[in-house]
Amino acid sequence: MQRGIPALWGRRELLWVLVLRDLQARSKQAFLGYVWIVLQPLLLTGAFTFLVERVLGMRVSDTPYPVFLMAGLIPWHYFTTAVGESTDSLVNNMDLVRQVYFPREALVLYPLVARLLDVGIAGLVLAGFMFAFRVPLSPWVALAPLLLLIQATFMAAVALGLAALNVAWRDVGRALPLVLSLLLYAVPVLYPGNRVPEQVGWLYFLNPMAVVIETFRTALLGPGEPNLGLLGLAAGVSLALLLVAQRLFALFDTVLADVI
Amino acid sequence: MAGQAGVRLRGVWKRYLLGQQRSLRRLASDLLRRQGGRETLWALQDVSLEVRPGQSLGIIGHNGAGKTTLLKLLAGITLSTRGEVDVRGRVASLINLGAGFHRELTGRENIYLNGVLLGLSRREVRARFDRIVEFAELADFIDTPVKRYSAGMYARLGFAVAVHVDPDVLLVDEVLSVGDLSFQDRSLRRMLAFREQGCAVLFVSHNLSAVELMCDRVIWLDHGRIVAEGPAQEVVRAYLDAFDRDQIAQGAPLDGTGGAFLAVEQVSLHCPSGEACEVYDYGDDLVVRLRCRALREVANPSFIVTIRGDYGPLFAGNMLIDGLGPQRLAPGVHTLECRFRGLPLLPGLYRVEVKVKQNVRTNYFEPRVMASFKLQTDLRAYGSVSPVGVSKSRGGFVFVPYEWTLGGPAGETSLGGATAPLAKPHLRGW
Repeated sequence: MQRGIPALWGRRELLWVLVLRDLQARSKQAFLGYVWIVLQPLLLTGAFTFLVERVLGMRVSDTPYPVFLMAGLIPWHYFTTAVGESTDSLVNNMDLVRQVYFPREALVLYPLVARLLDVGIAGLVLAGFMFAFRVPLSPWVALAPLLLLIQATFMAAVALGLAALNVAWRDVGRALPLVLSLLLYAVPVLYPGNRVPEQVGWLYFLNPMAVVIETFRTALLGPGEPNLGLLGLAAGVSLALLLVAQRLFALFDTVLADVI
Repeated sequence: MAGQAGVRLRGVWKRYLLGQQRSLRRLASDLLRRQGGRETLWALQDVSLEVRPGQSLGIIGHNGAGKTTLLKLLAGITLSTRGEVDVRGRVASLINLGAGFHRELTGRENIYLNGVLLGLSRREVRARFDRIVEFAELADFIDTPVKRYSAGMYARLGFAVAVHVDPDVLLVDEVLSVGDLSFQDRSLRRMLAFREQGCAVLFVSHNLSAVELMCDRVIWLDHGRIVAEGPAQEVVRAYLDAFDRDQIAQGAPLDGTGGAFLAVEQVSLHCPSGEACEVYDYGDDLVVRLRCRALREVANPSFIVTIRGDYGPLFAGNMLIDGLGPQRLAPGVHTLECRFRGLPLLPGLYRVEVKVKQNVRTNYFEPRVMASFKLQTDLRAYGSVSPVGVSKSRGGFVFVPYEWTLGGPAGETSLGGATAPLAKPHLRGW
């Protein structure tokens, strides 16, 4: 029997029905339905704009701060929600893992696909913001699909690793929300990347998420051009991590049903 | 697919780790006590088997014998520690039915979800959709979220999806308890049809009559090892016999106290001549002798001696129903004999269960299997020509002489039958 990501490719429909299941279930029994998708980024944008502009009276960027924030929050929100769900996915679907064999990578990876809908909807809200604040769109926006691909690669690597660890130690799932909420300050969402001190810059941008967020915002709003060298590095790091993670996950998969 | 599909296991071992997952607290206590490592359990030990297309193999054994582990290995859910597992073709596992259902989704949405999880494409599910709904008898509820389903509906839907996967290898784990009698009947027939179509079936069940019906061959697992393998009837018989021996051995040492006022201390079986006997012939008399101890005066005890076959009681000497109980039993030791005349039983092992009732609802002495005997006979002496006729597998447990008559345009012809001779040549103890 074929196992792992190659087997997953042969069972693409499986990934698709898991995504459908997720979307169908989410729209049910919630009065606000899809409104929840944009609620969190909107509230965060409101809160931080109030804090930074009104309370602290700071001027962080040339673009209006709400637009600046939203642009950074979209990739970051995608990262936190999808990785969070992926981490819990194996444990939540324990019965399924014990019932039938299918490439378990599908369970870990489907939130990455399902949350793309959130990215799309948040993108529309951002477009509305840009229109309202009269911020022009940079032609570099064509880079967005590539950025999404790099981010998804990095997320797949992180998700496979964390999901496996969470099966062994449930602490991982418990700690993750806390860690992710702290990591918000380690990526250039609230502030531009050029404010990071030179001495730690190389370490800071070793994190593919930091690169993707910074590049996405520059590609969308400017000013100037995105740093393509840095982006190449992020792509390389993400791909290398994914290769390692999927090997480790395949090893872990052989004992998964016994330890879950 | 024929010749290619099927299942083969060679020298398969499976080890599980027991005990708690490492945690900070445990790590600390282990360090203090200088213990390391976790206990292991061999769930399967050196198991080899083969099931070809069109064959069905039953797997029986006590709880924890490794039956489900075996199916999980075949389904690819878990991997063997050692040995070779070779499964070819599409596998459908009827293990943990309906596990993939999402409670918020409707029956319809879940059929697609579960079908694809079990290996169908969405197109294939669409083609089978109506048949699945019909099989599950859920046409009226198919657009209701499955969280509103009863447990039976839930399991029926799971079963219906699983049996429509058209597998080459079908793994069935104790799922026949699903649904009412007509649903169970259809499920069984469906599984038999799979076998006819050349599917390799592995069937785990505690329902031994279903195992005999479904399977050509049976393996008996005990603590992860195959202890017997062979034709279904033989292995099921050996399994039941061993079970009886265990039960009787456990029931043997009775102290007669334990707070009961009345205890049956000993049960022995005898020929009419009085000597103790364990083996009987067809038509023999059986004497069941009880020794019981009353700790104080006991009012209206009714003794019931039941002769049990593999799947339940066959006949009984029942004081309660026939109103034969003594009015009172004085403190002390009493013996009681019950004589069954002319055992009409087929060869095999039978159990003797004893209970003492005060009235319909209250027991003086709880029902317990306390003895067993063997019936040996050669029914060919009674006119049966079949060698199969010498075991219970001819259907049922009792043998009643019979004759066939064929009627038609040419009049009536006697086809003969199996009839008891007027006088038995070797009547014992008369």
